[in-house]
Amino acid sequence: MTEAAVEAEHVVVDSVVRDRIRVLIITLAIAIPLIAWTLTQMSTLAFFTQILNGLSFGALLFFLASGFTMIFGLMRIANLAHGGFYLMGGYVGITTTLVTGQFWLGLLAGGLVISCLGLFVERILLRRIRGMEKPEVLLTIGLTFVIGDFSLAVWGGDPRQIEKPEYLKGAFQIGDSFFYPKYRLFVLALAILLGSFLFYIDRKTKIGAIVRAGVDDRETVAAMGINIKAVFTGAFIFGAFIAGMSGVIGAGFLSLLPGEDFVILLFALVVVIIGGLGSLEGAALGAVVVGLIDAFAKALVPELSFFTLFAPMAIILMVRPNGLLGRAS
Amino acid sequence: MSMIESAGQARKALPITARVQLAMLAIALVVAFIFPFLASTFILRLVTLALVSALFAMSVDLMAGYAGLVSLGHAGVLGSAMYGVGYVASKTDGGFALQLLVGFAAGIAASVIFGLMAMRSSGVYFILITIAQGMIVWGLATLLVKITGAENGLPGIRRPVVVETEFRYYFVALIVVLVSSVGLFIVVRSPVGFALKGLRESETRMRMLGHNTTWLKFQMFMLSGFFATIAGILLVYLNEFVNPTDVIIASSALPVLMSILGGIGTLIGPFIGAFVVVFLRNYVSLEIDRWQSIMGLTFIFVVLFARDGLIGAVKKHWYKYLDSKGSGPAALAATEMAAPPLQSG
Amino acid sequence: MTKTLRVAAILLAVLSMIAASCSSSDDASDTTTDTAATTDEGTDEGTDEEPEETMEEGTDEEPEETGSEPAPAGDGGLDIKVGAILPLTGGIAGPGADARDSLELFFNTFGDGESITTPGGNTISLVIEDNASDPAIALTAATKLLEVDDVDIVLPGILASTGTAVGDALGDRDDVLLLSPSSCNDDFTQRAPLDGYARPAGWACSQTTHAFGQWAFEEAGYTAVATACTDYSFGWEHCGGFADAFTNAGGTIVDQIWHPLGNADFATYSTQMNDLSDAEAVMVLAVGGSVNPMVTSYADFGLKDSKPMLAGVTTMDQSALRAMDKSVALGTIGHSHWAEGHDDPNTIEFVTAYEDATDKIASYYAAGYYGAMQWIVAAADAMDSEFTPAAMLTTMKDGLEVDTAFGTQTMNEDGSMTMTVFITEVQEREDGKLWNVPIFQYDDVDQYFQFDKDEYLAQPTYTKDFQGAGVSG
Repeated sequence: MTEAAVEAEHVVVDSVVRDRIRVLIITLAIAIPLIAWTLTQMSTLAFFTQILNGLSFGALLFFLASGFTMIFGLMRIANLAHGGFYLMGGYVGITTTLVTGQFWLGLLAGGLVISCLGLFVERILLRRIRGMEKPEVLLTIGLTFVIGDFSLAVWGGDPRQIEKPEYLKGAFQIGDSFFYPKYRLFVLALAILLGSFLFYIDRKTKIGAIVRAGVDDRETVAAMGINIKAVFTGAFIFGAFIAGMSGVIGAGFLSLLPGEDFVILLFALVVVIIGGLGSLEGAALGAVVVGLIDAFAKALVPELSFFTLFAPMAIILMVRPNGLLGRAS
Repeated sequence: MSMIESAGQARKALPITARVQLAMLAIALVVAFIFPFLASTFILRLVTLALVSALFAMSVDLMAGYAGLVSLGHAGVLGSAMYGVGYVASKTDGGFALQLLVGFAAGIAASVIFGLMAMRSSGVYFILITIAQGMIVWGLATLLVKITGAENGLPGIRRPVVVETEFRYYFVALIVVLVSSVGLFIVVRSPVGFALKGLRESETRMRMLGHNTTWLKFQMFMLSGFFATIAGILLVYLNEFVNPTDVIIASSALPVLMSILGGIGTLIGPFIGAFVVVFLRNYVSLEIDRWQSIMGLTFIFVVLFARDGLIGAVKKHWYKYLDSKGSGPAALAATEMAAPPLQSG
Repeated sequence: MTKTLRVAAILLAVLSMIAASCSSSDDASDTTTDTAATTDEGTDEGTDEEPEETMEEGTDEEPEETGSEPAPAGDGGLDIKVGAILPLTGGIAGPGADARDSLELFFNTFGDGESITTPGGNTISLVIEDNASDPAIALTAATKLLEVDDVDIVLPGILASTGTAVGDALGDRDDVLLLSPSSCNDDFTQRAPLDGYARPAGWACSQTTHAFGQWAFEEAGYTAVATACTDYSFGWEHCGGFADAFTNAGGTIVDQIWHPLGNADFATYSTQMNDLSDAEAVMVLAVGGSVNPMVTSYADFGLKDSKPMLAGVTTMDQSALRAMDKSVALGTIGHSHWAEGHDDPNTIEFVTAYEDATDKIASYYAAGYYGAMQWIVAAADAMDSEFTPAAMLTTMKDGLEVDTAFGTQTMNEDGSMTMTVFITEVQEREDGKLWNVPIFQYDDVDQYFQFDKDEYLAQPTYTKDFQGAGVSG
């Protein structure tokens, strides 16, 4: 690398760092008064419980969003069938758990079946229209309809939940007054695990390096003799795997039913938009922000809880069209 | 790009192509005016719905097809107009003129706000911000009980007595939609229309050429919103009812799907797409349980095998046919016409 | 070459998906085609499906004894067409399927699946249309039913929104009767009555909770209760009925939490309920996909023991209970006009037949549509004039007593029902399935119950701002 290039890289890194700091400062400036006000509205215990609520819901959202954002980052595909993957994965998990009695098997089956579906979708369908934004949107929406209808035919229209293992049922208790559902803590732990794993892959392994390079410059990576198509397929399968698994996880405290695919898709979209499309940190940040906003808004301004989800997204997009941590395209 | 050149090269073929087009248009018009005398009220109502949906789809096509900016929240505009009419009709004793006025004002106001919010975005971010816009209108519709009736919606909306019957209302819709279509065709051939196409090819280039692309997008929102508002007013009098389902994301996705299905960026494509989708969604759904699969599969097949939509497929085969007859344009022109305009940019 | 292969692969996959969806619907016997080709439909070709799958399994072992009145007063010979607009796809496809299954059960049990001949010699036939949980599509379906199928009676769907849309469109027509066994908007039979509309085997949203509120104070001995209901008209009316009756009896409503329709995550609300130290119990309503998350969250936050749940009609209905965790639901006190564990012979007969046919325990949606058909049969047989919608409505209201799946019911002048309201407990059946068993009951509950009708009608409809005179803020 020439000195000029190193210099240039420093400038880029510096500007990124400065940008992140600016985001941080603005976020804190908004958050601190809000927190202070919130504390006057509820007991400290309730406040911390609500934080846990936000974080654990955010954990599920991170599961959803990480798969979505990875596929988008690498392949520039806004996979609108992600919600459908979630729904069907959840149903497969429920059935597997029902048959085998094993929650973990359900979790695995949900992921695996959907990754097979992902393989089919990527290899057979999406590959034929690679790089064409609108056909991809149409195809993945069409796919959502088919998956949703297939699920309705197989699993019926009643809302379904998964049978949790005994040790994840009920509340985790500290003292007399603090109860917290074990399952939500489990989801939180699982998300942290997944996040660490993804960051490790992304930063420390060769695969991560290839994927990151692929995000920046597909042609060069291909020219270096790496099979970029295989990388794409792999990424899509993995994204589908997480989506399917998150359906099973979600079925532990949310319901699966027709239409939930679009609800979940919207949540995933909001998360990745707030965080910045294609960025893993963005997905994590977005998930936490959306989870917390959702939890506190419902408690504090119940009538507006709906706006509190979409209004920040609209505002963020107006001032930062590429999301909080998104890079200018 | 190639569109303009190929149009030049294909000019040789225009006489016959244009003649066929004119003939088809004439047949369509004759059918449109005669068939109501033969069809049942039910079919008439479906066709009216298809006409209204077609206008809505064309208004979306103006953005998605010409400017390359896909809105998945345009039902927010349509719905605002519907709620405007519905509020006056259902909650006040305002007459028809006031209903129209408020409906129009609500639709245009929504367009202005949407435009201001989204005029700086493009690409996928534009899609996402418009989703948020649609959801905000949906949220208002479900929350403002006193104005919107929330989930129960606004009943008691009635057409003016003169056009009360489905039969007469069909002609109202037909004429309004025809006039609006002519308006839309004029718009896309105007300087603004060409500038919008430029936006689709490359926003950066347009900016370097000295266009204010932000202002251009705002204009686009206003034009598209104007026609979506008309569609909304027609729709609310057709259904004589409005509720939040009219502004959910699926209602915004439908016109986009209609456009892509018919052939995006052609205006006539969305028109045809609307008829297909309305048929699938409102007719097939009555007969077959698995209509969602049929609709989904239709989209998948169109994307895979008729990428330029139905219109594109027809064009392709038409030119092939002309070529085989020897009277068609050069093979070059034929293949260029078949090249998907979607891919550009 | 590879391209051809790929195309073939796609086709294969697509076909297998279609095949899968078809076969799965076959064996569940819950998706026979909607168009039960009606008797004189020959003219309208192209809409008929392939012939209906005959459903022989066990459903038609009950012979002729209809659930209707034995003594037909009329001379028979009426030919009545019923059209049902049900949400078979979309967000409430579950309840829609329940309703469809029970209608099909009725027509398979007493007829050939498409039409039945009543004991009084009248013919009743059925057409079912999907409204995709969308009022706009419900309106198209209503037009089709009236113009193409020429139906005499329309059952306008489950959601309040589709019910309102169809009611508004057909309300001023005198050639069709609207019967709504599930959607329950109070004012349709109270302050803004619809013409040509009644609720056979149905209810008013606040009707059951009036009894429930009274019970909570007088029988259960609660004095301070909170409510947590869905923030839309059904929730306001359902909760309002409870709050009004509970405070009227002498209790206090300490707080009211409203959660949005379609809310997914209930942790926030459970935390809030945990914070309500004054509340001895919480009356909880959720609908559709929100029910299970709500109930699960309630249990997971340890609330089930500290503040017993008093469940609204949809909260512990079979449509939700089927998928509910045993440890979460068992022992919950609820209430409804439908109790599948009631030992009334009519109820047992229906629940058994329904379970044989569908492998599901009947929800109140299923019972409601079955009950509505029993009402139609009884009214047709009791009519002694030519059929008109108005004449049938008059017959229904004219002291007709009908043995429905719910028990014996009568209809009031305004089209609402007088019926039994059960206080229920979720118990485990011998086979391990959960169901609601009555532990107390109020007989002859009409929509005003303990209130004076005129005073009641003078107060506004229940909304979030008005939950009864005794409820502050």
